[in-house]
Amino acid sequence: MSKLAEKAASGLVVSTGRLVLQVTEATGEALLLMSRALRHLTGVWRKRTDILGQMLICGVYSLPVAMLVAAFSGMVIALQIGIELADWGQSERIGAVVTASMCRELGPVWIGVILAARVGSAMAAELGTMRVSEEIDALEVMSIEPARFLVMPRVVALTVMAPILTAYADLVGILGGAIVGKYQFNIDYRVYFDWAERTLKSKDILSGLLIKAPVFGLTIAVVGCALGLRVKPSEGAEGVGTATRNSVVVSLILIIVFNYFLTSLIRYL
Amino acid sequence: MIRLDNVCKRLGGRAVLDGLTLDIEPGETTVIIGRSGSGKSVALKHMVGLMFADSGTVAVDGVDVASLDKPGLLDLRRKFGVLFQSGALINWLSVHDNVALPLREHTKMTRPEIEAVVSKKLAMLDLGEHADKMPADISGGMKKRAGLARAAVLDPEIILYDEPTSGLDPVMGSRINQLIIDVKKSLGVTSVVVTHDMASAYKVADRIAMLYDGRIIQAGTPDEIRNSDDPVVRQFVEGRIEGPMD
Repeated sequence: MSKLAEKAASGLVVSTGRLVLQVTEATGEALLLMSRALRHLTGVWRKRTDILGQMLICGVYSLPVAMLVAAFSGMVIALQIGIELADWGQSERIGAVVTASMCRELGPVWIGVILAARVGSAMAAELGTMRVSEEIDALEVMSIEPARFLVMPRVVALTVMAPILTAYADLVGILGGAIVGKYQFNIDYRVYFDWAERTLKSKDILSGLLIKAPVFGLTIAVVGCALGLRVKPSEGAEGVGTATRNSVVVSLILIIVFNYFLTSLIRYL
Repeated sequence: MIRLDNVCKRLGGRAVLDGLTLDIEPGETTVIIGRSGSGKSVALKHMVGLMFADSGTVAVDGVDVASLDKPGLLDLRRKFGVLFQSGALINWLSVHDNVALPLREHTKMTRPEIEAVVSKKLAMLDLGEHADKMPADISGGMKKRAGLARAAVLDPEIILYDEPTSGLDPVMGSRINQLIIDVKKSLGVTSVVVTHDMASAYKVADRIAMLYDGRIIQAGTPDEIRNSDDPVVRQFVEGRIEGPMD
């Protein structure tokens, strides 16, 4: 091997090693932050005003976008599946497919994506800016733990609001599918919802609402807060921008990965 | 009260503090002067456990800050009030709520008791009529005064001031200087001020320490610093371009 190739190979090893170290360090910090925030759950009542404020920001204000995305998701599934099913003379089963898709996968995943883009990024930007403007230092000097004062209300709010938004998204997606079924494939609402009801098992609803959605909400909040708090004051606006961008990327990757493993796990429940 | 002993700290590959030794005496106002980027704020952050030394020790009342666990550090910090350079007010809380925050978090005071203390502090700093304003809606001078009210609200033993007059007009700067003196007199606190504003340093200091190349090169009374023979100190206090400092 030539000297140049050796140098390039060693550079690749070093940069890969550095990346692994950084990811491991960030993961450790995020897990530590999560455990600290969850340790302060006993103070939920005391922080109720902050938590309700965060629920308003992450939940209620995200509702219009979430509903729009859910409605069109349900509609496009109905359209795509309807075309295929029509060839087999099975169009009436559209309700079954749309309902199963929304409740098992699309509802929680789309809400996760929307919350990561809209709320997780905002959390990273807000906490990063607080770090740059020394507000986090000020809290620490006042012996006020950021994990309790800033992170816990955000984690609780997002973990609670994600399933609520998912429930709305499931419902609106199914309704969107019903409209497409009715006007594109001439499927009566009664037939559509009859198939929807026949297909839907309580496990489908519960796995989406009570397992996937809270896990995604928790993940997005922890990632957003952890990356925001990792910003160094000297990094300034650039550091805040990087944290914001990374929070979306990391959250989306984790949502997709966790979704697979949670689905595998739920199969055996 | 506070002892920094041979403290070294590297940041971004550069030795910001390189053998810093300094004693802060109780009840005194010690001013640390030095050029921008000389490590003054870094030294301040070591005192309150926001940063830790690579080597050397920082002790507060005989307790090594680096040896404290998280609860110990939280307890230690209750001795301190810190006025940050930008005020560092929590941006979504009003001026009133910023000042009330330490009382709400650390005391069992009732709402009326908190109101009374906060009103008193805000009145002392001439902020009474701005209590309901948000940090984004007030001037830099008001932010510093609000930050000072918050730093002093729990009657700490030590108050640290990070560049208290930077970015202020001379009148507001003088007003902040007077407040530092008044707070020291009324609360009997130990004060550490970090600044490169010599007018401010001469006005508030009992003792001035010059930080250069990561260590204290001279410490003394304002008169001793004013009449220093050290060429670096002379260049700095006289604000000359020519001299041993690059």
